[in-house]
Amino acid sequence: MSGLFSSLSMAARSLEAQRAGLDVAGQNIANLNTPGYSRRRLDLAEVVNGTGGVEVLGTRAMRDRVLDTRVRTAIPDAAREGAIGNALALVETAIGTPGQGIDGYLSAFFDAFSALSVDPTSTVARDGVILQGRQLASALNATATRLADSMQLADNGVRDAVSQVNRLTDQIATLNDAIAASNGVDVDALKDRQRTAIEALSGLTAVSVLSRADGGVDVTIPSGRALVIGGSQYDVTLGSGPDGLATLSLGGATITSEIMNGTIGGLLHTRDTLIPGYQTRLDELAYGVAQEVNTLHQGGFDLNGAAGTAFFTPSAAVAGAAAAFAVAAPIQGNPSLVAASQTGAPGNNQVALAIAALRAQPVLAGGTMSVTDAWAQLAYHVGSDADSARAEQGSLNDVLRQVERLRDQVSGVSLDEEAASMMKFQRAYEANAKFFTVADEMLQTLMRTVGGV
Amino acid sequence: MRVTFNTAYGGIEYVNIAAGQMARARQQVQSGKRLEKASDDPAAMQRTIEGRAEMRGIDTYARTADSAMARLTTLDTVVSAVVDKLQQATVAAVSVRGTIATQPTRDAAALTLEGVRDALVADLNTSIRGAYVFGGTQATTVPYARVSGRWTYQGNNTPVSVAVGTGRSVEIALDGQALAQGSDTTNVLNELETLIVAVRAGDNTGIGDGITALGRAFSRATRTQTQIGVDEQSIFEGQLQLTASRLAVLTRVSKDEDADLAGAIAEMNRADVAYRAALGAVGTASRTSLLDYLR
Repeated sequence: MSGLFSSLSMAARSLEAQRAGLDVAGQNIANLNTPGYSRRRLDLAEVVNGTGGVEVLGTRAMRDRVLDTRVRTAIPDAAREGAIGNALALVETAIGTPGQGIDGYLSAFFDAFSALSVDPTSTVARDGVILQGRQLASALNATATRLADSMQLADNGVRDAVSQVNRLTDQIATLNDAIAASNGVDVDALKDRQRTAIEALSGLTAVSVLSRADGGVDVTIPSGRALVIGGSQYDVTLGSGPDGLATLSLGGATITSEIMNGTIGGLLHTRDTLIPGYQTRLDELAYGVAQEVNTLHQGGFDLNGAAGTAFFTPSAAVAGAAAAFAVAAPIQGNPSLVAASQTGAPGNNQVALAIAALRAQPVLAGGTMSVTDAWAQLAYHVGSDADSARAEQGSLNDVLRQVERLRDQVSGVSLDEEAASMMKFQRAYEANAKFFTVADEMLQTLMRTVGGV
Repeated sequence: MRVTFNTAYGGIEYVNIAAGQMARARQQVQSGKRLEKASDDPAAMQRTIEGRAEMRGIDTYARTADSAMARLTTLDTVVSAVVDKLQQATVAAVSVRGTIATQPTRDAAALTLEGVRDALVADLNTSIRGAYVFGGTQATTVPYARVSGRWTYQGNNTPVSVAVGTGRSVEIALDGQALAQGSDTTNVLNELETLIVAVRAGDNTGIGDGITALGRAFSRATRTQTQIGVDEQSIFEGQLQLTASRLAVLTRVSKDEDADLAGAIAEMNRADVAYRAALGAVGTASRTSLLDYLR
């Protein structure tokens, strides 16, 4: 058995160990609100070299790699749907409410031709037709512009997100270097930051993460192209496509179509698939209206008995028809050029009646859809896409919250636990201090005895 | 289960969810509308757009029917006046037929017939807002004018129709020739000219032919009057149908578009309770901890 000096040493080590325990509790409490912080636990062990007592093996961050992975894989899907929902909220404003959007202007335009059919020689009715035609054109132009603006905003969002990706991958690479250089000593804080950065990156694009032997991580996009390898970071670079929209490249390869998830994936889907789909529908509607009205109008005669000309400026192609939709310039300046007559007789109203009747006729999509149906379908698609994105985001966020809660049960800090831990280490410290005092008094007694001889 | 600091003090997302639900319900109560944007109910949005367009179509028919009714009322008045004038002419002609009438009497009757002729010309050349209503589709050309000493029809035989309902149309400008001439060899104005000459000359055969021609004109006018009446009745019945159709569409649209106020108010109250509960849950979570007992 060791002597009194040994007991004093043991008590001193134990005091040190209990103080370390208090430090860990303090550290945990200090980081209660620190994002990404994993609670620490002090690992103590009995000294086995014969001197007895306790020694500090180290501190350990409480992490569950499986749950970390689950969180990281749940984030991109929720972020994608959130990005789509937010982007489509802007598109929805372009649709308007029933009767206030393009449908209202279409109705007003056909109403004007109905009014003209009652009074084909009336200049006022002819002016009304031109005015409503111009308002319809203005509404189609404005809707096309709003869709283009929404597309541009999504593109701006992609550009911003790419710069965030590069900042985060740079941060991860720097942390990799720091973790490797520390040789495994006191790396928990660095790993917490590493995890936080990877999760932030996952919100922008889905990533695959491979652990390295030195404690760092290699990060790739799902197609396998590297963003981070050890201390090396690879920038996602922005290019410009033929339409002026951003293209993404990594390591010299174009990856725009490879990023399906995260905020970037959602914005790209909105920019490259959803909004172009709406634009095509709007263009088909505008092109169809112009074609049908022009065909009837050109088959008629104006107030002067001359053959009718195109009412709307003819569009060469479907693409861009909504943006270019306009009442033909000659007609805008001369109401008598509106062709209401089928025969040339000024009182004939057959063309006006035929154009007014277009309102309900299935003249679009191969004769299956009226112009109002076409607009209603466009509104349905926008609403349905936005609604499903929000619903999907809601359920994915629920999943994410559940996984985060599970992880929090492992890594989160409990105030009650830390309070109990503080009390435990405080009491242990007091007991060890008492032991130290007793050992010291015994040693003094012994010294006095020796001194008295 | 470990209850961590985040678990105990988290839950702000549920406050946000409850606040969002309450805001949505309040918006519905304030606006009275269930559909504020397409994503509120995409299928209802689609149905509402189509329903509103249908209502606009019905409203257009109703407006056209109102305009057509006004036109038909004018036509009815004019044709009634034509009938009266033809009767007046017939009476004047009959009064001088035979051998009893003196020359002054015949001259007076001829003057009456000239007045009737001029009035008929005015009636047949009636225009509404600059458009002649008895010239067919030749709305800007005066229907009856004297050409080479004869009353000549310058319109055409194409009536102008307008749609006042689905598959329902009425004529708002008529073929004047069908009224004034029909299958006769000449129109009633020229018949009157001939009759006036016969009356002045005491030509009983000519007067008799004239009276017969006036009788045929009278029949055509009353047929036209009947047709106008039928069209007016058609508009009236159509307006009843339009009103019923509009109400049906409005009811359908309203179900999709308008908020169920009672439901929205109940939902607002429910969301308010949920919001307060979520706030309370966050506010009172772990109000006490072990730390409180260690003081």
